Amino acid sequence: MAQLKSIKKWFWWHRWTSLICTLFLLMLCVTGLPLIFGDEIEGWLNPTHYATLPKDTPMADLDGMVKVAHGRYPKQLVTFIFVDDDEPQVLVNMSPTWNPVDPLRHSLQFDSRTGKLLNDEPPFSQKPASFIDIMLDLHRGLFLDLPGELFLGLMGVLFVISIISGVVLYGPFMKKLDFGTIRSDKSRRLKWLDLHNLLGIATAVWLLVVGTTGVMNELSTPLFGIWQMTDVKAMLSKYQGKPLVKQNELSSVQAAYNTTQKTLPGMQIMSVVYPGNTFGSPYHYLVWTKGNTPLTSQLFSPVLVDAKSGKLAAVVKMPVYLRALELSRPLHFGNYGGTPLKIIWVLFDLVAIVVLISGVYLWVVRRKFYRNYFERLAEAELTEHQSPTIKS
Amino acid sequence: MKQNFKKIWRIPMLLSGLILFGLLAALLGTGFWYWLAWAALLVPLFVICRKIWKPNSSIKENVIKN
Repeated sequence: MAQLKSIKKWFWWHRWTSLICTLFLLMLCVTGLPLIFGDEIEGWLNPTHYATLPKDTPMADLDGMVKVAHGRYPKQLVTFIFVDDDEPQVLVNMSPTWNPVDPLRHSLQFDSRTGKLLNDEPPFSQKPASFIDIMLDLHRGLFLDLPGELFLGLMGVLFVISIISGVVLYGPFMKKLDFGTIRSDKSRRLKWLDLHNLLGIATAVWLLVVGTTGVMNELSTPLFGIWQMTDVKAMLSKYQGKPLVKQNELSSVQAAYNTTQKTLPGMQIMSVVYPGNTFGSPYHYLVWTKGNTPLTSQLFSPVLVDAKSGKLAAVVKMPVYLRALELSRPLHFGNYGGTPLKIIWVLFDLVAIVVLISGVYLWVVRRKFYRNYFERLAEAELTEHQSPTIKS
Repeated sequence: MKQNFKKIWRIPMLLSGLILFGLLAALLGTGFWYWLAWAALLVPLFVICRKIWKPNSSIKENVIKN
């Protein structure tokens, strides 16, 4: 009887964790579908036409681009520069204030090889949100930023518990059935139960990985916050009391780029965060770099370059929890193994949707069915005890 | 009992191992490893399709056995 009791307990967990998170998980699965091909869809909806130049054309001068940007908006701050590794573009981001969500923040898009201004984009608040932006906002935090992210993170935790409890329940459910049996000839309920079990167990590891990495991603804001308040603060403590670096006192950003490249020759520079930015240092250019092997291209190393002298100040070591967060991104997005992996992600996502919907269906038709089921289990256990030599 | 455990978990363990291998192979390798990763990840999906569209003939045996 002890076993039946424990099955009932796992069943309770499976039912309630699933029920609470299912609606949100369905939303996540559906909005996640277009996000798998987000880059492709975005490029297809808003194509940028780049000049055709030889592949090894060197990058144009960043200082030149910043000068053009400042020329257009002399009163605004450059907040960070993004150097795309996918397309030949550099985005110079500006804002009237250091408020990270200033509605007037905007980007200027440059051709990274010619340094020519391609597009002076409207402020963030006036830019019509693209289809992918809307899907991402909904997927990440129900349009609610941090509270929404934490809430969906919690739903993700419930989802992970429901997968684990589901796997535990799989054993007793399959005691008398061969793997993958679908009893389609008996009743609709049994058919969907078998389908739910088959799809769930066959994709369990994928569901677990995408579930846990999803939770990790939802925690990115607090995790970066912890890092800022501990490691980053300690690193910057020796500068405390020094006057903040103003934008007209800055050393050349291109020189900071070159210094970083020289110090870390195998690394690729992704962005340069300007001094004063909430997500940077008040005294340094914060240069984000990444490696160029499959694994290290997922791991980012920040480099601090003194914003006045232009000298390298530090190559920052990232804490373990941020490394884990960085690895959670590709494993959640499925964007690290070519187009076939993305297609595989879509297929697994579709399976997940069927598992969720069949789970709800099984709950709806539950009562009579499970009373019978537990009765049968109890009977089976009784006979097993009475005649232990008989194998089931 | 032990045999039953093996019978229940053999294929699920195999599929789980393949998924784990596929996810890591694409993360740690490139080129050849991508192909292995895609192949490994397609196996569980293929097994699902097979079981749905070509249900086991052992259903009837099961019914009789029980």
